[in-house]
Amino acid sequence: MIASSLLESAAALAITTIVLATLTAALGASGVTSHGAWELAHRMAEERHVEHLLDAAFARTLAAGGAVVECTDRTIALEADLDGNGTVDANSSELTAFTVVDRTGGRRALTQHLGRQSMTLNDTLPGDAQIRCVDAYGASATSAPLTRVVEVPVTATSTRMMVADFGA
Amino acid sequence: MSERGSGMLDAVAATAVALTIGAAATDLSGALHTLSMVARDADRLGTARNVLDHVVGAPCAPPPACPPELACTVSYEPIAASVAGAARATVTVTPAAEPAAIAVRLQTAVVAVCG
Repeated sequence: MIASSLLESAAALAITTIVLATLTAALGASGVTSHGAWELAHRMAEERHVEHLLDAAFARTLAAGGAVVECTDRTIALEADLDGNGTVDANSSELTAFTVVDRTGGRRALTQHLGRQSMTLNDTLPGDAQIRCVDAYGASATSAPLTRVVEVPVTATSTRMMVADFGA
Repeated sequence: MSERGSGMLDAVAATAVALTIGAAATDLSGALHTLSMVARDADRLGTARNVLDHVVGAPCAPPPACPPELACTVSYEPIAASVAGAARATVTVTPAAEPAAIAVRLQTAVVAVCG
């Protein structure tokens, strides 16, 4: 009888251990899933936020008859006479630029400049992030007026192509 | 309680625990699947938008390179005989490993006069 009770206790202990281990594993996996979901939502929101700023800047400039005035692997600058007074005020948002700058730890950052003000949009870009200026034939544009498409790094893993000239 | 009754209670309890664990594992697996689908769809849509903007901005250029895990195609259909080079461009993006999967497809009008 004592042997039978011992056997039952051992079996109960084994089952309890298995159940606890399974629940712990499920809890761990649930944590990983939640973290993954949060990371995905964060990445998509970050991407959309930067894309919205790019879309707004390009649409505003091109709709006002403006143009890309500088395009290098570090800077894309857009200029337009937004208020129609005949001049471009470089101290206002009539001059908008996006730049890729070096940050500590081998990282780079995308910043937006509106006139004399600037703000960082994303400072977690990889060390090789850069702007790419493309001409009408798919080659690297050698000057701003030849730029038709601009590829801008948006997040650590994604870039966004922007149409820079609808009059091509 | 009799020994037989106690044995049945144990069996019911063990079944309930097993069912709970099974249901949790199924939920978790479903959540992971949904998460990976959302991530994949977002990547495919982002890629399609980039290719489309490249086609609009530089219609005479070859389409940009597609990420290795995706297959991108660009097709053109004439839409207005009166406008030289006017076409409807369709960008289709599918997972490279699953060509039969539902494709992300975006369209726009382009005017490509290439010399």
